[in-house]
Amino acid sequence: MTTMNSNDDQESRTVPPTVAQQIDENLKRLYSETTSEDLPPSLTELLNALREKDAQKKSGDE
Amino acid sequence: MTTQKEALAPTDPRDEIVTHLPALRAFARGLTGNVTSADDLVQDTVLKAWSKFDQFKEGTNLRAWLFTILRNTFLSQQRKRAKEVSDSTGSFAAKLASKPDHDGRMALQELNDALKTLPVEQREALLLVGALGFSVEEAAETCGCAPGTIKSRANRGRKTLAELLNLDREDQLVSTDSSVAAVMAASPTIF
Repeated sequence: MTTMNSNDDQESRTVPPTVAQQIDENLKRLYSETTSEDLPPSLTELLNALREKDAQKKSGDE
Repeated sequence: MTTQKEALAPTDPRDEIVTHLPALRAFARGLTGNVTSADDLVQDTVLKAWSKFDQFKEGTNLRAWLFTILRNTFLSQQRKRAKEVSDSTGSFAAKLASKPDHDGRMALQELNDALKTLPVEQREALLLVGALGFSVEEAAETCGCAPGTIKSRANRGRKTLAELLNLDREDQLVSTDSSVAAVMAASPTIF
């Protein structure tokens, strides 16, 4: 088990704030395309099927 | 009062789920490292969430709830497939020659490759906090751990990435190497 109690530990495991910021900004760039992509048809079809199933269930209950 | 009540009324998670799918897909890609597996994982997550919506407490954080389902699904699949997973990290560091250019932009393919070598705990912390803009608290809720744990996992992950991508030296932060610019100019679509 590792502990993060000593300053030495903290020091050796962190990067300068500028580097941390740089990494985070590039991670955002890396995933920005994915988050702005259209959803694949398989996923929207799945949602539609689930909603339809729920609707059928509801009307069946009544 | 009625209008205010309506405005504050929690939306049905069955409707709201769609707004979280893009970020869930990004998280899944970061965890699996593969577009097809990621979309399969998101599909499994949607199916599980749908069957568990009656357990979701209205007014609590749907995003963290969904991300937790995806994460747990991934981890249990990973345990099942543990034997099939090959470790490609061995000669990885030697292959890297990444440098950020003067804007601090780095070659995304190399960042993506480096990210894949991190232990899953560090990767998920960086994906949530770094890539997807979760607060440390929300990431902690998602991963079922303390905020301090998320912070230290993210820090350790950044440290390793900085080492793999040679970002840990000040002089390289101001590099204007033209080959890096060329790599960045031709930056491929990662996924």
